[in-house]
Amino acid sequence: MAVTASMDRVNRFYYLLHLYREGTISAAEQDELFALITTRQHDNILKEQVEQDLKNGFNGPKANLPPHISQEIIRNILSAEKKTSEIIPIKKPFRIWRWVAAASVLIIGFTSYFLMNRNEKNTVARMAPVHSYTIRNVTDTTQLILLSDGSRVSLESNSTFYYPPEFSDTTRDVYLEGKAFFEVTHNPQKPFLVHSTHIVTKVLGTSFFIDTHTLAGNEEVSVRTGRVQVSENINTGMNRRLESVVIISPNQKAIYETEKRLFVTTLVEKPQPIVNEKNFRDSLAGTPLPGFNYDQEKLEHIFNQLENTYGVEIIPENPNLENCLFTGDLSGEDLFTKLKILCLATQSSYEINGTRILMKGRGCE
Amino acid sequence: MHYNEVIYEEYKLLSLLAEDSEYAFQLIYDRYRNRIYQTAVRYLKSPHSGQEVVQDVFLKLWFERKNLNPDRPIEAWLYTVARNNILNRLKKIANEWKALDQIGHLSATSICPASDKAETSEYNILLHKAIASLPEQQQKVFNLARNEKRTYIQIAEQLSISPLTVKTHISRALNHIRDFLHQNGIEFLPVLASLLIIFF
Repeated sequence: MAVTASMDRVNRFYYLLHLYREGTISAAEQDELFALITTRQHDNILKEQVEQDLKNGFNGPKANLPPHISQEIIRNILSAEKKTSEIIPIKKPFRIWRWVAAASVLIIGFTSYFLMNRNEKNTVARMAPVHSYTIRNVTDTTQLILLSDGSRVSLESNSTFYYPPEFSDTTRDVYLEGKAFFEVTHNPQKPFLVHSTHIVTKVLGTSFFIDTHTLAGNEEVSVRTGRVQVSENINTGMNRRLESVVIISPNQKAIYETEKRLFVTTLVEKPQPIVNEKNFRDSLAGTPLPGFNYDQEKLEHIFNQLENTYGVEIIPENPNLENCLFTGDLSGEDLFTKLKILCLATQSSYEINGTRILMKGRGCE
Repeated sequence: MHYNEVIYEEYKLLSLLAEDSEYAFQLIYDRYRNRIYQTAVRYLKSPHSGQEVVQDVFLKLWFERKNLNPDRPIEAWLYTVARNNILNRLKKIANEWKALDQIGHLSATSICPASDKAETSEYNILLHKAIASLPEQQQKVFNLARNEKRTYIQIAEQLSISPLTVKTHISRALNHIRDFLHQNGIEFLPVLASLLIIFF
């Protein structure tokens, strides 16, 4: 009951904040929202929403900084230093990196599917420290959990999540049975580790998104952008084997085959254009992403563009294949459909070999 | 892969910045100023506050330019500083807002006892007088809120002031009206009570 009431309060806060952000909040609702803000109980939500809007932008009414004010600000800043440097020769040390580390948010999602027998369920429960919180999602909707470091977990149905009231000084360990998305606050001093029955997933890079895929019997992690390290969970009592660590990159996934106790890496079913800084900056600058509409274009260039867009490696078995020309519009198709069309046009074929795509065909002179 | 090129480009940009390059600073400023400004205005509902946030964030960047880690994305740094700045301002506004609310509630309860036999028309006349005696800006804000049922955000936009200033005007106007009616020997205020409902 207490949980329901607090969920209602959280939902109410989200709702009011949404109206406020959109500018459609009534006077009475704004009074209510601001009273809630002063309780400081929803600081995490507020923080996360501001961060999200900064990182992802938002739709709706927005104006740019007027040019004359923009210039005035630059002038103020550059002249401010000249004034202060005379007065304060030694700069006050800002402890800013601590905040940066705490705040840049990594987004990871994570799926682990495994045989749902009791022993294995207990394994994860046993791994979690004694005083861990246990969140069991028995509803049919995704449940949101906010962690003390600002990380956010979307726990799916029939899944259980264990996390400590406070993280240790060296790592952030959480435990999962089932399926969840993680948006992890980036902190290189304290790696974020997701423990599940057979594997441990460790956040390594700067910006993550892992897609969910299902495969009964095995545990599976797939990545949208950034990097994730997956290793065999040695706490399950089995002997550690060699080479049981894999690092996966955008549009790749690692499947842990429970029976064979080994990792297989391959490409996800539907590779997505990867989100990297260049794409992001181009979108900030208003540069449209390059299209896939070709007129007498060499396959060499098309392969390059696909490699850059999807972060995959395309290897023509025969270099002559790169000389072939293609005319047509591949925009709007997913990666593998694009490849099928290219193959049809050039009498070639492709196969996925691990995380690479192998192109086969006689090619063109 | 051009991902590495981007990393390298940013690395160069931050090295230049560390060597006091105003050009590098301007480049970074031009890339991020609008996103920061737009988000600040989204949460603070005031172009002026938005400008202050942008200035604070980039002033900090300029002062910190020699201490930045060139291996770390500058975007994350800027957005963290911006986020904290926006949150601090928003919390400050919320605290002041609540303080104004409490003054309003106190005055509302302190004038509510007494009889309930008052005649509405008499109050209406006095109320009009009370509103007419308000300072110009208070009167304008008060009427927009009461007669046209505008929200704080709408009034703020229309008059180019911050929502907190709107709230302050309304709060002061209510106090003034209460005092005015009180001086005219009226202790019970059904009209004012219904007025207060609009705001609280």
